[in-house]
Amino acid sequence: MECAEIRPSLSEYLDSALDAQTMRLVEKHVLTCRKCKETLESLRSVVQDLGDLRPVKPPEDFIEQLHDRIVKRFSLKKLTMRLFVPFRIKIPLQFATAAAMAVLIFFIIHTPEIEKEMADIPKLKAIRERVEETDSMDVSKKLREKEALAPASEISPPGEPHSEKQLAASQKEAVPKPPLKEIVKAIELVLLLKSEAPMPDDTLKRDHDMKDFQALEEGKTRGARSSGMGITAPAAKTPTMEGDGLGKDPSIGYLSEDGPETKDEPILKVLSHDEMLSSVRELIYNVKGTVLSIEYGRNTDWPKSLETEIPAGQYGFFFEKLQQLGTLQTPTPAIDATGLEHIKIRIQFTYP
Amino acid sequence: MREEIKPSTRSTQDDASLIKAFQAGDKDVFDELVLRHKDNLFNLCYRFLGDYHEANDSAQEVFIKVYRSLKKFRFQSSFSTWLYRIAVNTCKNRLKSLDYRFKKRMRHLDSQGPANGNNPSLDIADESRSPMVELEKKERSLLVQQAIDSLPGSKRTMVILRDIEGLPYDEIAKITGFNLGTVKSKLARARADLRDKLRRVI
Repeated sequence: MECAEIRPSLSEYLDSALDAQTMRLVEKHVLTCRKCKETLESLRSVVQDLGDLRPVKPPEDFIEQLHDRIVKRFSLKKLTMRLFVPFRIKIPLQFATAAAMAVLIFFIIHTPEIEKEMADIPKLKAIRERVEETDSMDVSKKLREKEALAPASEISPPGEPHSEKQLAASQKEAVPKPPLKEIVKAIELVLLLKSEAPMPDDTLKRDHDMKDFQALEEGKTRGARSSGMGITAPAAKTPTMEGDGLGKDPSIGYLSEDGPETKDEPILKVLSHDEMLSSVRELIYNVKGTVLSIEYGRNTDWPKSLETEIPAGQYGFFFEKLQQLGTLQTPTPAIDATGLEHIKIRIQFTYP
Repeated sequence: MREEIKPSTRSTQDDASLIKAFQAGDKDVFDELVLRHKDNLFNLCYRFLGDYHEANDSAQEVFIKVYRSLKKFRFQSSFSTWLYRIAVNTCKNRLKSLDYRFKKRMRHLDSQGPANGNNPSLDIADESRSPMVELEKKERSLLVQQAIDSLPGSKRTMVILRDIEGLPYDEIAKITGFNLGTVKSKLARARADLRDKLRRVI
């Protein structure tokens, strides 16, 4: 036999696992072949080395350790079985899991929405302000819509008499309404303020009317003063509103109502925003109204809007005077003042 | 299971009758089975894994698997064949586990020297031999074990089952699931590999 045939059988030869004939052939070859004999001896040495390896004993407490592990493992299994396998416990646990998942999903879905809503609040406010500042036409549209929605008995187009049907309808509608004295009408206006305030020719006449009116109304001399711009009101004599500075500075340019020279030479005066606001406030004051709130622009600190409440009887006079301060960009709603006690007016200022 | 180990009263019974008793509900016989096979099994695990603590852990894991499955044992093979099969598979899986590989690497870094700090049994000196001979034998054992550790799984199985545990070919074939010819050829190649590895160091 050749060496190549013998060598794969050497391992089995060592274990005496070959048949008798092959055993004899290998023995014979190894006796004559030095290389195959060396290989056989080296393999025998390896097998002997492996066999000589001292058996490694387990620790003395091997079986106790095993007991502990078995007890732990199987008691845990028993506990798990007790928790999950019995039908009466399994169902509530599943329900509890489902409920927990539902709560979790609810919070996942809703929490960002709340945050988003919170984040959108200033944006909406800013957008609203921008719209109010830039697009006065939208406001007038809204006003028209409001007027359209208002009952015909309260607001009617000027010069258009109520029809009988409208009156009947208004009477029907008026039945469930609160007492008339409590009715307060709210309107909204956009006023384009004038940059300069010349004294118009008829200002004095109006002021005289005003004086008469206020004398009738309050019986005080205070009411005889003009609230319109371009009309002289000596600063020293002008009673001031709290903290508005009105009348403290003679350079404001209010014109004396009695001075014939000023009547002939109207003074052109560029008014500051504060002065314009003061004029409006004085007008309100003169008609015995109250300033409810003033809103200023965020960046400019200019007055942006003013909310006031005036006696309903002064409505016509108030509008007449207000139009001297600027140009109303919204149609003046004709209001039937009968039955109304006060009128709330929100004036939106726009600047040239 | 018993809390304390009592002297076995069933040592005369063979494995099959002990298993039948276990299957009949006598859990105490399990201890007798463990006492009979724990040494061989532990040695197999140690030679497979090369680490005493890993061997202890694996051997206990093997017996836990046996305890869990003994009720389903159908006597289609001997108990020892079944036990070795479980042990070989457990050790092979342990070898593949990342945890074992990490620990092995750490052991290798920790102990570069020949001393085997993880094997208390190797520290027991054989008083019948001179210290020099004993030291030489220890060194040789360590080198042989390192050579075994370097073998791939199937070759390692063959060498351990045949040359360390001394099992016959047909038993190895049953344990590993290979046919007899494959077992012989694998064993021959494993021995040749070991010889080449040991020739370099011894």
